[in-house]
Amino acid sequence: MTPEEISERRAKARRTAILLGLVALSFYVAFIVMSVARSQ
Amino acid sequence: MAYETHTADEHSHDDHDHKPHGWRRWVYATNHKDIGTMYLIFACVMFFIGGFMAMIIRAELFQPGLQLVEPQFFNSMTTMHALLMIFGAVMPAWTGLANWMIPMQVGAPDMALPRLNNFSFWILPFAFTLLLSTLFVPGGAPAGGWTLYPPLSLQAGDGLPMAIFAIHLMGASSILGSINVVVTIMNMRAPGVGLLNMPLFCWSWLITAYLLIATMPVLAGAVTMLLTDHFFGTSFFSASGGGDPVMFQHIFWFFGHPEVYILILPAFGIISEIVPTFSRKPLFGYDAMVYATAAIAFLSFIVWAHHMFTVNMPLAGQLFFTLSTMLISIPTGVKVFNWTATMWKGSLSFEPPMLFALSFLFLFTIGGFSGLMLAIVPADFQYHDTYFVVAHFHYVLVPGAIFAIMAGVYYWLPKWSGKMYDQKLATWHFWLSAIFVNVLFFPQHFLGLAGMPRRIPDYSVQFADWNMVSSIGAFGFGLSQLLLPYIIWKCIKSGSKADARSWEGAHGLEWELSSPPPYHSWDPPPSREIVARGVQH
Repeated sequence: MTPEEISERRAKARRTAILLGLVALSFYVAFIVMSVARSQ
Repeated sequence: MAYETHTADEHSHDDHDHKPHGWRRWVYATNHKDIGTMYLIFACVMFFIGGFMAMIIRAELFQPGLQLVEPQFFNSMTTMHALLMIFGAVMPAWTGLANWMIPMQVGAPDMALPRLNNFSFWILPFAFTLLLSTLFVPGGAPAGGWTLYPPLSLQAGDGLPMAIFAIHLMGASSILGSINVVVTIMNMRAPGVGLLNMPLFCWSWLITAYLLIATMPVLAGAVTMLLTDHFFGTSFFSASGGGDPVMFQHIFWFFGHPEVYILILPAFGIISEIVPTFSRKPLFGYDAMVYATAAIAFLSFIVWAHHMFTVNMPLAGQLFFTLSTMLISIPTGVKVFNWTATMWKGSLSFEPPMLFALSFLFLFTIGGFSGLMLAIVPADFQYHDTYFVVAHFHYVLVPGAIFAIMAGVYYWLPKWSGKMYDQKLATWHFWLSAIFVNVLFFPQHFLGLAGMPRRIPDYSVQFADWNMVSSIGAFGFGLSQLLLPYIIWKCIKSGSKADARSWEGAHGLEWELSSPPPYHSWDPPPSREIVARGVQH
């Protein structure tokens, strides 16, 4: 693999990881917000 | 050796093989094999600690009356046994196997995010030290069951916030590990390794990782709200403050049912690797297996309330959750059919991994059938909170998940260590486990049908005989597991040299590497010819 391909793959891996982390965080927040809304 | 393989020597010329030595190798580990080994050792330690707790439970239940432990401590044991086995033994064992095998199977040099991988692992020892230390604080360890249902769980002592923090840590570890798996499979596959020709272990783990990312935060949210109810005066689940304890059950099982599939889907992947190898035939219906796994994962999100039929839900809800639960048997049936069809007219041999895989096939199916019985609402009203449920989920998790882990360890141990283990001893391990696991759990069906409630340290005398049989099975099963570390130790110390392709019928990129594989598995990536030889079809 060329250095450009390697750095492109690294950037893609980082983007995927951040996206998945945000998905996990949104599930956490969404369920708490849903429970707050329901208990009001 | 019939095939040209990548060896450790080929890689030792470059700077990639400058591995650290001593304690630094493990504490600063970024290599997927080292981290995989640490996960597997950790899982093994937790398996034995959790197993010891199970022995205490079964010793107390050996005969009616209170003999050995206080009821409060007994309840702590059932709670801690479950938490340790689920989050400490089975899940880390899967992550360990994923760490070891996924980079080798997709043609990658390592996991995509090695430092994150190190962090994911090293969270775990702290989490479980914290969880186990609750045994020594005032009020003792949590004793309300692993489901932590309020208001009972909120009556715990100082152990509650510690356990909740430990659960947050375990969840963080699982989520980070899952992100690494997804990123590795999506970005690190070698040219020629496509999504629809990579090994089914990778597929089942990819789907498991998505399940984990979606559901572990839900558990974290639920226990965060428990914490605020206990310490900050909120009333999410407190009826006296206008909250709803049943809401906790809905949120918990929205996590909890997919969690069951998190524990079992990687097992499906391993069985799909082992059955073709020892049948010397390609897997029957590869594409159908992938779609069936995805279907099971999807359905796992819409069946959660079958765990709580007795909370009195509307008839439409009961019907929906009964039917959606029964629907899962279709993709599961596809899998069982395909494994059987793979063996049909195959050239079968019965080495230890195949024995464990075959046992999985029979015994997991028994667990599946009792699950169908539990999906029927009027029947569930009778079975709920009885030993029938205990028998059901232990059939799914012990001869299901744990036998599949054993199968995987016996399948890949020659690859990892470069040495072949004592197969005769491993066969003994299998037969003792297979016999005692049935002596242990099958009588619990009868106890449950006769009405014996779960999570009690004492019981009525009519349950005495089958409890004694079950406890004898437990002691036999527990003792026979000591063979596993002995077999591994003996293999590493004095095993005969294993070939790169340790099993005659094995296919896959991992078998194209030397045994043991080089420190960085595929660096440079495998050529198209090697990939063509190694992929499933």
